[in-house]
Amino acid sequence: MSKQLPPQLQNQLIRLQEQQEQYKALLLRKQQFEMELKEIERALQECSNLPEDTTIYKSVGTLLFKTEKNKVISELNERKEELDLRIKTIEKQEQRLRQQLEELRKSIQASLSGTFTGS
Amino acid sequence: MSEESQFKFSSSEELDALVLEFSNLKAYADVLRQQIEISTGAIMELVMSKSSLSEIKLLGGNAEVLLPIGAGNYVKAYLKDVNRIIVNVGAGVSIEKNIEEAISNIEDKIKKIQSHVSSLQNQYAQVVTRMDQLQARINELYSQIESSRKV
Repeated sequence: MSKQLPPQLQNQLIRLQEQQEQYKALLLRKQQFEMELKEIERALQECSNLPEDTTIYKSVGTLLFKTEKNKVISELNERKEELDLRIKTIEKQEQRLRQQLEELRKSIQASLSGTFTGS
Repeated sequence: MSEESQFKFSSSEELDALVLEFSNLKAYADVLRQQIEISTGAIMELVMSKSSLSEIKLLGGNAEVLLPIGAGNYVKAYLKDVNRIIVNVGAGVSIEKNIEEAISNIEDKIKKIQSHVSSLQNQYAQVVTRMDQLQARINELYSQIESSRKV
């Protein structure tokens, strides 16, 4: 009949679930940053092809403010650098978390086979 | 372990695996459907914007228009400059383009999104086909397990 899992194994399963949630959240954040980065790169490409004296607008809230090409490019580059850094940090966290998940999964598998074959 | 209980164990293991795959695919299908809806909405908005620009181009600066101020209210307005259009290029940046460029820019965007939607629809169709296959196998296994329980 059904057998109660040992408390240690139950804790491991809870930890696995928590880490999987963390991993998903991390991937989602990375995806959002990557999308923003792509948008910035597209905007930068559009802006760099424009003549120097061109009129550019930047949206702040619901208003569009007139600004200068160089200012916009510099702001976009700044944000791009920030996003690059954040994505790199997330990638490191992602790698670490993936390793932890793999170790935990192996440990759970070992405990499970011990539980069902050992007794 | 008896042959019968071994059969039950492997069937229920397969059932668990299939149910898990089905639920993952369902979540994926939901995301795809959502993306298709968002992209279709974006296409409709672009098409509306393109028709406005085409009409503006046709009428030149002579048109009296009604400017929406929300909640179905409008003020009468004349278009000051119909040659330079402000076009959003992403990341909160908008640039001036002439009306022909603005229209062609919109057409490019529509084409890109349409091709994206068509790829999403293909993926969705594949996922739904796989889900149908899984559903059939799940029903089959479920009936097998139920009938072996009754025996």
